[in-house]
Amino acid sequence: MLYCIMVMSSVTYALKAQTVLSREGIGTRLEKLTRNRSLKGCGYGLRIEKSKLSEAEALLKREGIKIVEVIEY
Amino acid sequence: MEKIIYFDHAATSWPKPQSVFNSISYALRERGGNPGRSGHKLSVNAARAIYECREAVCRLFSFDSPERVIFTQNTTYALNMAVKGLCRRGDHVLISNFEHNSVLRPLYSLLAYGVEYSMFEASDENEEETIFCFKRAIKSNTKVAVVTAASNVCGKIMPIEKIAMICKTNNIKLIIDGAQAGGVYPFDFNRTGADVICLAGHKGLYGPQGTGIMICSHSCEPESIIEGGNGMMSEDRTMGNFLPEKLEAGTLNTPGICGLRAGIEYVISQTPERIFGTTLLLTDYATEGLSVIDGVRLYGTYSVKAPIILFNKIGYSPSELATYLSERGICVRSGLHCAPTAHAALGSAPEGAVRISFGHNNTKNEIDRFLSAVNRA
Repeated sequence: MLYCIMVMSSVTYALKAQTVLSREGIGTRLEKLTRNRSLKGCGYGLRIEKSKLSEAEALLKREGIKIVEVIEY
Repeated sequence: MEKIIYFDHAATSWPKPQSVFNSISYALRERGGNPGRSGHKLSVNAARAIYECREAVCRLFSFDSPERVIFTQNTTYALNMAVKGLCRRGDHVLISNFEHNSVLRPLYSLLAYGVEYSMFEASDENEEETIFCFKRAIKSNTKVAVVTAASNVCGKIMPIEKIAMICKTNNIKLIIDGAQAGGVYPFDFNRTGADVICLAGHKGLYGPQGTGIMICSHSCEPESIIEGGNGMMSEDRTMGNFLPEKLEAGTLNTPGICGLRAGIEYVISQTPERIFGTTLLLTDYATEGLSVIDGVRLYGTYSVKAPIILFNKIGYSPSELATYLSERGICVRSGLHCAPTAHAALGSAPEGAVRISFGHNNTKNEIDRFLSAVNRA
């Protein structure tokens, strides 16, 4: 299955995003990111199915939760 | 052994609900990782537990942004972070004469950095006079005001919402010391109009000691005063710009925060309205009982107040009376309660007085035993 990682500003924002998405039936997995240029170091991201990405992005934008970067695999 | 009568809830609440013990124990066993640092189960579970506590704080105080709930060691740390994180050289800070040393001492230390302060008088009964005194004390360089929601000495409740309106008009950031308010009586953080509120986790929220909270409104973000690791942006020299991590340097107190969450859930289940109603009745009952005992002098007897009573008895120093009560299994606190200017305002300085304060588990029967002991003294 194709998936991608939404890089979040912090673990708190990652958990907030996960809560918002879960409420809307979109499953994600919290992952530690060892090093990310956008974050100037380590951070957290949410692994999500690629097919759900657009919907997730729209939902998070509506909630004012910023996605720092999307890493596609 | 005689059952302990605990009338020192304003210092720290006791006993804690059973759910607090269970939650701390569970956290130590199942959430033992470092929150926000690793990707393994124990670390992620700890981070999630902490986030859930931020959500619980939001539910209790009708706030909408868990990420603006910052965990600290106690109210004192939160107040230091708020005051020192918002003040700059040349700023003037306005405080009431009912403030705790957790407000006074940071300001004394800031004098050396070019931050000045002054004190406005909170009137004993007349709210309008308090507002007048506050307005009159504003200077052209007043940038921050710090006001207690409820006095830790006598329970006096300050007109926070009215003060907040004046602060907004004058572009002043308002920091509330909510140590004696959180969980003690109902309030909605947004409705207070304050920029920051600092709370104790271990008093009216029934969490363990070593837990405190700072809530920052959307209009206010103090600079960090403690720097270190926060699990993010490790190559950056700063703490970053994202709350709460910007203000949470070092490993958080996960077991304590889990216990705090259980305490908050307890308050939500009991409702602050019901807890306040019950403790206010006890306060009235004890005040009435004390008022008819020969030689007792009461201070700050307001009609609506946090459940705190301050008194002395002729012939006893405050510490002698507290010791006498302690020998009879009654826990109270004597002295100046870390708030010397409040005692000066109430007329109980320099010796101070005896303070009793009530919580969720106190009863009229306990007050009867206490009154009987004071009567016999």
